[in-house]
Amino acid sequence: MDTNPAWRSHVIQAQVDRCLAFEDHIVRLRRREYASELPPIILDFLEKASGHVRRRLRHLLREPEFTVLSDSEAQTEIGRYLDFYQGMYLAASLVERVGAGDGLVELYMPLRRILTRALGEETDLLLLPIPSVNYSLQPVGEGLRKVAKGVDIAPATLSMLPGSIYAVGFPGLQSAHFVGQCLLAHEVGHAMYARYKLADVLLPLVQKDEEHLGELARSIATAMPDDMAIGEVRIKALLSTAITRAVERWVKEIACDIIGYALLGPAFLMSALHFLPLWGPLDDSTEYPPNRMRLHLLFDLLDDSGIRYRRVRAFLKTWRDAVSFKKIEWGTPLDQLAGEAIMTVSPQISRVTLEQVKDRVGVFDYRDRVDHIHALVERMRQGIPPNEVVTATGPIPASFPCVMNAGWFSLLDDLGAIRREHGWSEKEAKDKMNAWVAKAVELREIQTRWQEVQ
Amino acid sequence: MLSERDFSELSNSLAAGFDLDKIVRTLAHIVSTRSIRLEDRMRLTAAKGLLDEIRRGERWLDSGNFDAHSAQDALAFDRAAGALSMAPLTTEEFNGAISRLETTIDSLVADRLPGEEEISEARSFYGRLARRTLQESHRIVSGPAHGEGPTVATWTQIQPGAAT
Repeated sequence: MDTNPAWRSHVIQAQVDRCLAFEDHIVRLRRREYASELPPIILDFLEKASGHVRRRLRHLLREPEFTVLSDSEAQTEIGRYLDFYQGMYLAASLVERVGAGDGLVELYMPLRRILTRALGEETDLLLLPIPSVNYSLQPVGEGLRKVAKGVDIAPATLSMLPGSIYAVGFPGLQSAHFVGQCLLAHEVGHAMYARYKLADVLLPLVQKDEEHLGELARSIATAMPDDMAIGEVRIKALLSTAITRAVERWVKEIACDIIGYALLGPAFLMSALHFLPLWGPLDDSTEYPPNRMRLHLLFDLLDDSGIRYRRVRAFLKTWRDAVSFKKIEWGTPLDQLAGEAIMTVSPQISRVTLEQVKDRVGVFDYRDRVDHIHALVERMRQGIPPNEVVTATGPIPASFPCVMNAGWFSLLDDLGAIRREHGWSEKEAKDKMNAWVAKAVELREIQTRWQEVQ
Repeated sequence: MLSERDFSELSNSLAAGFDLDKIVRTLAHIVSTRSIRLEDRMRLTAAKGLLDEIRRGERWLDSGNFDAHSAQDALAFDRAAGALSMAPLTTEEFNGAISRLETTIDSLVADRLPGEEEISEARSFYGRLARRTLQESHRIVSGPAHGEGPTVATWTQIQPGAAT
């Protein structure tokens, strides 16, 4: 057996040094002030986890099981600690970015309310800007626990973390476009998708096209040059992995779109229309389904007959026509197999997903709140944050979905009029209107909390 | 740059990797001491579970359906196919190798010591799987953050009309 204790000792010491540097970093981060209790809790956990791993590394050379490993096996195990450390460093960087000050603090409470209503009180989030034009949700608590168990961290340390922690990322450069942040409802959808185990009920709806999969496997084998032959098992393995992964991911993304729509209604669709086409041709697909497919399914959910605003209706009609004027041009046969199998059952996917959301958190139907939304749009026209609706019994805080829908409707329908009235440039007018919506979300939150403590 | 989007994939890959490291340690210890501890048998139950996933993944294309586990099973199959041999394998050869591994692990879980060659074969297989998961997490940490699907997604463009 090839063993080189001196080499092992050297590499282990290098890993220990990384842990110590990481713990110094945590000490620096802990000196900052944070708006919620969660960041310091995560930092404490990371410091304890790092200390545990550091002690474990120092002990490795004395462990009988470790000493009988070959150098190659030992290298693999030690190498794993480097990636463990990188994961912890990433978790610390999420906390670091929470305090970056790029806005959206107004959205923290409404998102937290949705998450706790959907997943329970022991749920919290880090809302952070990311240096990318994208949104994301990371189950940080679950990920840390999973990895921590791998290195046998004590249950007492694991229990330091709240039940569920999510890092919700938004594009830092777009934080001023407040109404566009409705896409965060899709990210909330990811948390609900996992917690409600929607994969268990949605994936079996998709039927495998065995005939075409078989043809595809044969065509790959035939097309492969002799000197690149990898054998039937590898082709089968790669094909199985690719198709199951595509279907798993695409069904999840579509279900999260449906959840986003269920939570926020047309405002979610309008945010999607504002954001998704940025990514290029509507038919392109990567780890995400083609945008034509996603938007098509969202338009299937929209009944716009209750929308009173001419320009909003025209905007939606333009997009509905653009999305549906032709069939999806699939990029690869594999995309086609996955996409067509999903499209065939998309009505069932929508129905089942909506039922799950309705049973647990309720579905927002803008048609039930047309009058409220209209009153809020009127406030926007007067330059007043749309935070409350005056009823026969007095003013009541507007619901979060109503505020976001009113914001979108107003932005699309009244932007020109407001610009002219105030002599603002388009950017100035958009910034002001988004700021009114942000202020309304903040005010309605204060009003709601006031009502709760009365 | 390591993106926050990669955190889930990294934690999944690390968790799978740490489990595999423990299996490799266990097998190395058994080879070294020619004895099986109670804790070894518990760890090797996880090794057996992994072989079950590989089996389901191997059968999926011919007889499986989509469900919440099919992608995980297919990934286990793909990792195993890469770990078993550098040379192309037929389905028969692959299944034969998995059957031998099942027999070895079943014996160990039942507290029966198989031959040294069988344990070495199992140790070598799980060792290669462990390395593959390490390569995966390295790729997540250092590779392009997004947009790279499985290689087969590119291969299938060889004959774009094949599945129309």
